Amino acid sequence: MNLSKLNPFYKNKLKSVNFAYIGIILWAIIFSIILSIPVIYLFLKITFGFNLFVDFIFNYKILKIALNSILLVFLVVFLATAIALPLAFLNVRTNLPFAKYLLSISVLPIALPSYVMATTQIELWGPRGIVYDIISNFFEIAPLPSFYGLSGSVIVLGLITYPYIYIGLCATFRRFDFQMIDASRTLGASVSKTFNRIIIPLVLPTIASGSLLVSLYVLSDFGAVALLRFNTFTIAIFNRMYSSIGNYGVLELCSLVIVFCFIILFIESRSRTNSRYFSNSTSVNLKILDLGYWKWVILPFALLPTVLGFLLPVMILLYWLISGIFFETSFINVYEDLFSEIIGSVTISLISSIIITFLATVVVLIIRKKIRIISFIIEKTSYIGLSLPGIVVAMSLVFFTINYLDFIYQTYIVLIFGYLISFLPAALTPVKSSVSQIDPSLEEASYSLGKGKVMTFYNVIVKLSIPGVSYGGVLVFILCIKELPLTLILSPLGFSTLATSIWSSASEAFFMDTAAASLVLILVAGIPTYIFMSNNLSKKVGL
Amino acid sequence: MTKDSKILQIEEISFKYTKNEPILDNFSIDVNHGEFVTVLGDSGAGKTTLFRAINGLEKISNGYIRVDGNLMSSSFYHVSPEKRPVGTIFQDYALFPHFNVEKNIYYGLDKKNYDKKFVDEIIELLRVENFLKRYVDELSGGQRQRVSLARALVRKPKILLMDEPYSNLDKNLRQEIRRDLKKILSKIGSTVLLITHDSEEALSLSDKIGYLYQGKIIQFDTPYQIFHNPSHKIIAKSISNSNILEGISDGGKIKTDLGEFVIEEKINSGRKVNINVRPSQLSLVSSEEEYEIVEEEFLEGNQLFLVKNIKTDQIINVSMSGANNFFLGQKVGIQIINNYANMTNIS
Repeated sequence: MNLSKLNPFYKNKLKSVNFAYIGIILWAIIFSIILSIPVIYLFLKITFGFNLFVDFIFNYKILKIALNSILLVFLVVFLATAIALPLAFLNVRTNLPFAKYLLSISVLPIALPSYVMATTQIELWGPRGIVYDIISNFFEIAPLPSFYGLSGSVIVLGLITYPYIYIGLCATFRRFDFQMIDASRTLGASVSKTFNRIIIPLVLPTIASGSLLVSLYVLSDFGAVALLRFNTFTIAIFNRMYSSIGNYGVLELCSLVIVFCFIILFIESRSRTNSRYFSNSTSVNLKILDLGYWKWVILPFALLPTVLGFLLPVMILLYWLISGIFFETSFINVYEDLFSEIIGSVTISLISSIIITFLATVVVLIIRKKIRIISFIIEKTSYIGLSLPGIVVAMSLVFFTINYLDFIYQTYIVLIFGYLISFLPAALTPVKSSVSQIDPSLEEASYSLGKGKVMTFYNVIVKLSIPGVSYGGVLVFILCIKELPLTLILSPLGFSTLATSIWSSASEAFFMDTAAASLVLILVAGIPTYIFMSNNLSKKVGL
Repeated sequence: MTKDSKILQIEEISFKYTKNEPILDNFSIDVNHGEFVTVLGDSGAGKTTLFRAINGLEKISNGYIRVDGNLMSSSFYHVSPEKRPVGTIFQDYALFPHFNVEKNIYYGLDKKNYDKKFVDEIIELLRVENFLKRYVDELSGGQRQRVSLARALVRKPKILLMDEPYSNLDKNLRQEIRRDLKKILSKIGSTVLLITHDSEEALSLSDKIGYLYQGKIIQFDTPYQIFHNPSHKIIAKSISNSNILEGISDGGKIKTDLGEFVIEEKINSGRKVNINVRPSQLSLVSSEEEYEIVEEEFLEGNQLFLVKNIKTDQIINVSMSGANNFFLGQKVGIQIINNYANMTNIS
């Protein structure tokens, strides 16, 4: 019986069932499943051997690694906050000289990959490093205490990650209404009560939110802790992968890291919901604190993070480069490989960023269609990478491909797939924000002006989303070119990139050989990262 | 305490930021118990500095500030803001966004030692009891104003200091809140010092107005006197757009270029005097061509015309009802419709 003849309801229903629609739904489901492979695989493995998992994690060595990781996270967050808090205040709300420039150059340390920061800081602070050399020229001193281990890792990661807290704090201080402090004082509150009940609660959410980003960074970092020989989860995973029989414990450790990351993300999402912490004032009191002559005393301290976190590392790299060229005979071999490493890095990152950005755009368009549960599922699975450190994605893909898809193991497909899982969230955010800003009435206007679906899609959606898509593309390119553990573990044999080349020289303590690749990486990836971050800061701070 | 006892005494205070011109220059004013006094002035006149000096947020370089007879500020002495018996209403109310209304109100109270009955009375009087659990971003402009008032009043301040508390409200709400505020404050018997640039607000609320100009009070008088008998051209212009006309006395009359005006005072004939003539006392006529309309603006439903004497370039303000046919650039004459004027020392 033809239902549509009987009832107009069925007629509309049948009309709406078209193949394109079914195609989209099917594609979305398959894509979501593919993205979830690492997590699903890990958890299935763990669930089947749950008793073994419990035995494994309640073991002295593992608890020590967990403790190391947690301690590192806390200390780095503490150091990053201790740097970011006064720096943001000084740059935004005081008359510190050159504050306008300091505001943005203070973000520069973010331009350095963690493994480059580690090599240069070791050179600087090592027992017989540059600092020791300088001091020993004037005084008779014993070698400096070892920089390796916890202390070095905290300094290196603290210097790289403080901008994550600093950027948020600059925005908060810019919006901070000093009238709140005046009001508190005139209501009888002492300076300490005002600090505890007004200033701290108004600044704390920003610190919390930045600290959680820092925590995720620290928990995922591989390069710095590996070079500084501090045993955290990522190092334990890597070492077990290449040293233990049957890779015992790798999956368990990966699962443990995911649990930690989920906890951090959960706390982060809870802290983000409270937007009540900003002043409702329409004319925020933008008072600038006059530091008087103290400003010249404070200025060197405000410059210190940028000098330590960017200027000195870059100078050390340049020093290595120049002394390598002039004084090391074997140095020429390093440069023979450099060109092929640059080509390798740029090619794989470019291809990956095009694929990932294209898929991110498709995902955003499906989310925009609001196809009930499908849009929800694809959005959530696309963000899985946020909670997975690169090394965890790499390990789960290694196990999965070895066991089920051996023919793609150690091919470019797996490498790009690893990048996709990890960096899809980074591409989604800008693409989504630019597409969501497209007013639906523009599409309606285009239809009403006689354009069909294809022309409307091209003229309205495609053209208006180009800025967001290009931004997403560049962001993914930068992340791919800097990424170490994924590239190291998933690359085909013999394939070398800038990141892996720095790693192989640095892990054998040939720091001088890393100079050229590190500088290229800072130029290609670090400086654009800095530009993005400082633009983001300018938007937030309104300069 | 009698109505005449001085709650706030400000004697010749000066304040300046480093290397700058003084913002307050030998400024003095007294506020008696139960009075509502307004310091009126344009932006940059030193209003905010005065506000901050009284509540202790700024130190003064000389002079004295006393509250209820007790020294609060001098060049060598400074009571910190939290120890002053001064209640403060800030321009944007400065309500704490991370506390609800109740916590905002209780913030300034000593938890172990406060007058619960009084706090409840204030909460009831200001009608805030229905939204005590709400956060500031959930309140309307009027509600915010009442909360900030309650927060200041529960501490039983000797004087309430208000810094342009209506500047960010729309006109209708401003008028409504103003009426509300006057009722509440007179019920409590508070002594208030309002600092504002809004002459309408000052005239409608105050017992006395001090006009602040370049860091000094240039007239301190009742709203009636400030409006009808301004002592300074700046005040005449800012309060009522008044014209200061020069004339020659002839018994009880003053002869001016515009025509004859009557004054109350008896002065010798032939003396040169200045009189204050409000724009509403004059009217335009199209039959003459002695003046030219050079500017027009709508004020409270009326139209204010600035007309220039073609020969002497003298500018006269004339107010007309909104429904008229005059236009910019038109040649006109001026007619006197109310010839009672006040003498003024302003030249």
